[in-house]
Amino acid sequence: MDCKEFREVLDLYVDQELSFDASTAARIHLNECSTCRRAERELIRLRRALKLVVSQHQPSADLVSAVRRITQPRWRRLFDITKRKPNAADVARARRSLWRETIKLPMPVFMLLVIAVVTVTVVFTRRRMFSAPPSAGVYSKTEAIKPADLGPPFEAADLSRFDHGGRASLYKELR
Amino acid sequence: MNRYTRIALILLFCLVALTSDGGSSHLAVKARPATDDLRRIRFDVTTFEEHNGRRDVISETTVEGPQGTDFQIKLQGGRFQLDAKFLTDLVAPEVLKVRADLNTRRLYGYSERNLPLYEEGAQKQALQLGFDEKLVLLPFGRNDNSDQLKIEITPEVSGQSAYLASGMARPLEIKILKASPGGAITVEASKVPHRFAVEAVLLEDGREVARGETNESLLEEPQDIVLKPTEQAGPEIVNNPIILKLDINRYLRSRPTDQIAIAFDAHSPERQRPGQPPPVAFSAAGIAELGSTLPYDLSDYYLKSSGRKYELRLRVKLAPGEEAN
Repeated sequence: MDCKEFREVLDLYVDQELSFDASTAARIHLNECSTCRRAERELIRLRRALKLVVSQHQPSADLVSAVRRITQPRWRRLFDITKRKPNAADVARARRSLWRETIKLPMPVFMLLVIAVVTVTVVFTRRRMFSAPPSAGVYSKTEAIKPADLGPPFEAADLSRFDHGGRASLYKELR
Repeated sequence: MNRYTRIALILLFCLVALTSDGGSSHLAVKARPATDDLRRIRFDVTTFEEHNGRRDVISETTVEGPQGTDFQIKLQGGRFQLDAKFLTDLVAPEVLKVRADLNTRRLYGYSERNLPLYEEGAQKQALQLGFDEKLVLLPFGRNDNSDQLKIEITPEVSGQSAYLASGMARPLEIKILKASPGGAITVEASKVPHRFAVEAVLLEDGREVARGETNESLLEEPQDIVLKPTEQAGPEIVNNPIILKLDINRYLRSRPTDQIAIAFDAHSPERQRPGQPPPVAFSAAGIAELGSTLPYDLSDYYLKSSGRKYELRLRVKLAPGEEAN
């Protein structure tokens, strides 16, 4: 093992997570290389210093509860089923966070949803336009509205171009 | 068993055989009617739009059935409705009698309370139509200056026999060759008996004093029936004869027996003048099963001063040769 290879597995060596053969090879290299020995000592010293610093400082209660909240399932977050009883502030905070959560959808699903909403809106709007009732108005008894001014009371085929107010007639003729 | 008993049994058996109608329908062979009744009539109902001499077919339907087939044409527009009923009868080998009943309804406007106002029209017409002629129906009347809708009804003798090989009557057929757009024009067909025999009897205190009958009363065609005094009639009856104006206006399919609806007026043969007594019966009506009796009490209207009870009895049956099914 050379220095480059040793630096790549240094963290694992310090954590004692290397296999037996790799650990043996790393130990042999350490015995031969002072530079890598110095690197190992510095890494161990750094880790000890970090552990010391962390153990000396306690996190605030808010930080602990915030982290705990994030890691809990949503339903527990909402009602905060923990040792202490949830208060109104906690529930409101949980609900707010539920509403504020970002909904993440894959792009194809989102596009399909948009197309479906637009299609339904267009169809519904068109149906309302064609079934709109005729406009109503108030008319005096002496005058009736001319048929051309109003729509028919029900949907049917348009025969108005033939209707000139004449009376139906029936007669026979030679074929 | 002695000889006389044997003879009586044989005679009884012959009598039963002669009077029975064959029992089960599938065993009986119905006697075929006369040749004319075997023909089926086809009506081609074609609707055109005429404009500047050009014709565009809007719809085409054929109705085929035995003679006496009735059909109905309905036209449904946004503001206009037409209901045209046609009763047809073959009165001669090449002549059809067509009775038409046209009803129209046109949207005129809206009232103060926004209720629709309609203009309605009703016409009845009877025509004799040869097979070289056709009927022309103009739902909106004549209009030579612009678009015109025209319905032509052309009768023809169908090549199909009125009966199937099994002896059963061939059913009515309606074929839609071209449907109208939006279902604006529909054609329906039906077959009901048209000819009836009517028997009218006037009773005075239960005794028959006048009688009138006819074997050719047509459906939806009013007919006069004169009640002729019988031998038992007194001078009052002879001097006050009654004429019935009878209209068999509906034939109703029913079970066990079909029914008919009638309307009639009874009056004296003299024309009504101011000061004359009113008709004996006016706008009387009734519904009864075929062959049953319809009684009407005329005591309050006919010879009231005599103090006798007068009753009119009407009986309507199918005319000879007419079939219910």
